[in-house]
Amino acid sequence: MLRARRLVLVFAAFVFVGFGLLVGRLAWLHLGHAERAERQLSQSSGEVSLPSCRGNMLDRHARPLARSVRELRVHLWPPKLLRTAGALRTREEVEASIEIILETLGTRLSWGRDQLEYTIREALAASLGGVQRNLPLGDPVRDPYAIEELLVQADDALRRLDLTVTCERVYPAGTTAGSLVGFVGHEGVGAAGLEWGLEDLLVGEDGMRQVRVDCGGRPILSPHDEIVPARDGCDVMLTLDATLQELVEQELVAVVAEQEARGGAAVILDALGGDVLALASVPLLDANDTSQRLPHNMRLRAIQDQYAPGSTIKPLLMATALERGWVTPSSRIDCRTERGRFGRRVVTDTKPQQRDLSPEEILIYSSNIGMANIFTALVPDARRRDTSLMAPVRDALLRLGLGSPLGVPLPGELPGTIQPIDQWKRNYTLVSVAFGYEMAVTPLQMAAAIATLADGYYRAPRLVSGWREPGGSWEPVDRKPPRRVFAPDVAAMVRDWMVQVIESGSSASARVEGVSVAGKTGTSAKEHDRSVENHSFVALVPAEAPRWVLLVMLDEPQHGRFSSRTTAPAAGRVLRRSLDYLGQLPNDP
Amino acid sequence: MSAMRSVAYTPAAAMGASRRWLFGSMLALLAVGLVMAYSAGAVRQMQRGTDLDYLQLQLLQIGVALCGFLVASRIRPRHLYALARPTWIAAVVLLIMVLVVGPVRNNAQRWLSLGGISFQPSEFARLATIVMVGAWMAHARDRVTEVGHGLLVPFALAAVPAALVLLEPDLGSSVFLLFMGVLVLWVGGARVVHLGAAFLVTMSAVALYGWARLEHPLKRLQGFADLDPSSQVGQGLMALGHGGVLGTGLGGSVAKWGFLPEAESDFVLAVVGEELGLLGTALIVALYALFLGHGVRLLLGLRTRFGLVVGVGLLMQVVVQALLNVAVVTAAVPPKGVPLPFISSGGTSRLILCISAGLLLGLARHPEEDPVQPARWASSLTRKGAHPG
Repeated sequence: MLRARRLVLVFAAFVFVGFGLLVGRLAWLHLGHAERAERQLSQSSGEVSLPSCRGNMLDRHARPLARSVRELRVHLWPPKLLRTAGALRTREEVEASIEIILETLGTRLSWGRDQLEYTIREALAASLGGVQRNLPLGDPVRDPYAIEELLVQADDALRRLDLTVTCERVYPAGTTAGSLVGFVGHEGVGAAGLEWGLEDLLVGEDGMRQVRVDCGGRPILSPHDEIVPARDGCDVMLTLDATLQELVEQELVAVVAEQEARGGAAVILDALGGDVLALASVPLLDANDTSQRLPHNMRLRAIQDQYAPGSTIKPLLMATALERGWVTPSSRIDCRTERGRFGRRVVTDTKPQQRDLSPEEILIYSSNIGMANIFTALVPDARRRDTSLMAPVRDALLRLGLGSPLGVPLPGELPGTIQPIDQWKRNYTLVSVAFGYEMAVTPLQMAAAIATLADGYYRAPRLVSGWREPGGSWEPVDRKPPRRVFAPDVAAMVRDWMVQVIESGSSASARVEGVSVAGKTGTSAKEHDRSVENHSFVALVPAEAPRWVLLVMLDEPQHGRFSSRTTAPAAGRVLRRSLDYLGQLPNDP
Repeated sequence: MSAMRSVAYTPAAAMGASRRWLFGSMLALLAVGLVMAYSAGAVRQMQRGTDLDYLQLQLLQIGVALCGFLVASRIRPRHLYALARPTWIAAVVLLIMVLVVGPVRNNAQRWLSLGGISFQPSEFARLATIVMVGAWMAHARDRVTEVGHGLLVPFALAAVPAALVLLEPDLGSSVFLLFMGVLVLWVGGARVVHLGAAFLVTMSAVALYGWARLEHPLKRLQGFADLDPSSQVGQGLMALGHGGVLGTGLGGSVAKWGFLPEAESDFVLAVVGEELGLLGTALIVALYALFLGHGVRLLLGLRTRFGLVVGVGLLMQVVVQALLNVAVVTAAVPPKGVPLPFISSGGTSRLILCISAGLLLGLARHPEEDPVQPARWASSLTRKGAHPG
């Protein structure tokens, strides 16, 4: 017994010494290894991105055209439900999890409980058979209350599902202004239309949450996490009027279909402000439907189609000639057919008059010969190579905003074409420009140029009227200062003549009962194929004190020889409906 | 010199105090285990989604262990002596059942499920072996210096279950079981020369077996020699370093979020060190030292060979296990899957250790009760059928 009792003491002494040594080692490990502590912190540090929402895009009456909607997506990754740390869970455990999921989601997802259960069980069976799919459960949840409820439960009951909150982009107006508004790509970056052009304003700044992560990189959220909150993008108010846009699109779609044209564009401008009230392109695009996001649907014809304006340029050039004194209202211009020969170039009129015409009559009859003679008179035959004599005509076109991009915040805007002055030839360029050839414009450029006839001032078109920070007040987007181009009386005179174009010419289909319309048609053959044409029509209403400018353009209409049969009737319908909506028809209450 | 020759018996009053201290230190360690279960519970709940809350499970296990402790503390020495043989036989049968019907988990058969309850028979076998070998050594009395009575029979009583555990395979538990058997033999009076020779032979055989059959001990040794920061031990050391003096606060452990395998069982000390710092880990070691100190005082108060020999085994299996666990977590020895007594999760281990502590208290409550009587079963084991004493 004594030996045994001594051994007990010896063993105990050894263990005591061992404990003492280990306490020393513990102290050394606890205190002497700062780098281990840092490594421990670094391996468990992570960041969670807090997604920001893009700003909303509204029309001039604050109707949403593009909106960001917070939505919750629920995904099932079957191995997460079936396994724990790689080991298969028991059937009872999996069944219990499924029951929790069905209880929680059965009433909140777009799918009912039965469909949900069927889908989950099918996915689990497939997973056990070796087929792994990340499966969305139901449509994304957009009810804010349901989202909050589910997020609260996500840390507990729904931990075996993947719940992701994102800011989705929706386009409540559907096809209305679809291609103009554009859409965002998969990365949430503007990919087309104003979504692309206003990216800097619309895009927000994602926030960041410094979190601890577990060994699988999964964040462990804590109320003490350092958070840099997300900053949402700015809301943008457009100058567009969604109702006008919609009715313009309806009429444009109708005339494009009727004429079997390749496409069409229409613009309504606020004549005295430059605001774009409608900017339609056909085919239409509903950006909510990703299958429609095709190049021909995305094409913004109002700024991406260049065409020879044809006779629609004549009122502008006539105003220029009157302004510069190259003609007077009482001038008489010889418009006989033989006066249509300029060197080897022969110009014809659609309705040959075989007499002298006043400038007003030249506009009414849309005489190419008359226009060509007015401008070729600036360049005597002896100095026909002197381009400086033609430069004023070119400068006048440039002052009307033609030949250079307008700078609207849209992708792919074309500048139009005004030939460099050194390439101008009197008998070719100058003669052609006089009736809208040898140059190219976009519909928006042309509408803005025509708007100068409202009061003689050119105003750059404006698409965005204001913006605001989230929760802030609206900041207006300043208009560019107007540029005087014509004397107001010159503009008024030309408008009067344009009224006669409608009243006594062949474009009577553009008339609006009770409202005077100043208009002009234009038909131009395409340069690469003279058998196909662009038809266009421009109008200012009311003619005596214009407030709105309308342009309708059709690309390759098939059934009307002249624009008086294609675009003019369409413009008339647009004008009647627009003025009715704007309360400008006399019989309006 | 006289103090060296004679060791005074612990007075009866001090025995009572030590029993309370022993129980108190065990309760404190169990409480730490419960707190760490609470701390780790959130992680378990989030990551594994157990239906029964992890904390509730730990509470249940601790409750069962305490019941085991209370029952064991009421067992008198003579009852324990009488239970030695059937318990040992039951342990061997269970170990054989493990090898026959036990489920394979992680390439090893270590568990048995009876009535929906899973447990590791090797833990039970260690306790049974300590009691059985102690009973034999007490029974053999003066013949313990003989090769047969003092070595071959009792060594076989330890070697048989150790061999069965080795077949599971569980090299660490097998060696620990054998070590406890040898310790009891030694204290029981076996000659050191016999023990040394037998231990060397056996350890060589086990080492050779381990070398030939088991890959993971080799990997562990290799990993120990070239410590990888991302390994279990490396992660444990990072956790201790992160804890510093005062720790990151309860629940502030990073390691338990999957970086440290077995964070709530074998490496729970690293989590304690991270959350409670050096103060926490030193307190835990101090509690084991307290347990040891009062355990030794109780042993020194026992008047019977049976009580002393079995008591040493019961006490040492707790403190040596604690020593080994702390040494593994601090990378002082090569890694071995040893739970931290009373603190690590694990129902079987906690129950067996609480029963061991209870049995020790039971022995201390009756320090003079000598159960060794000429029993029939013991007589049948002797060649001449006579009582060896």
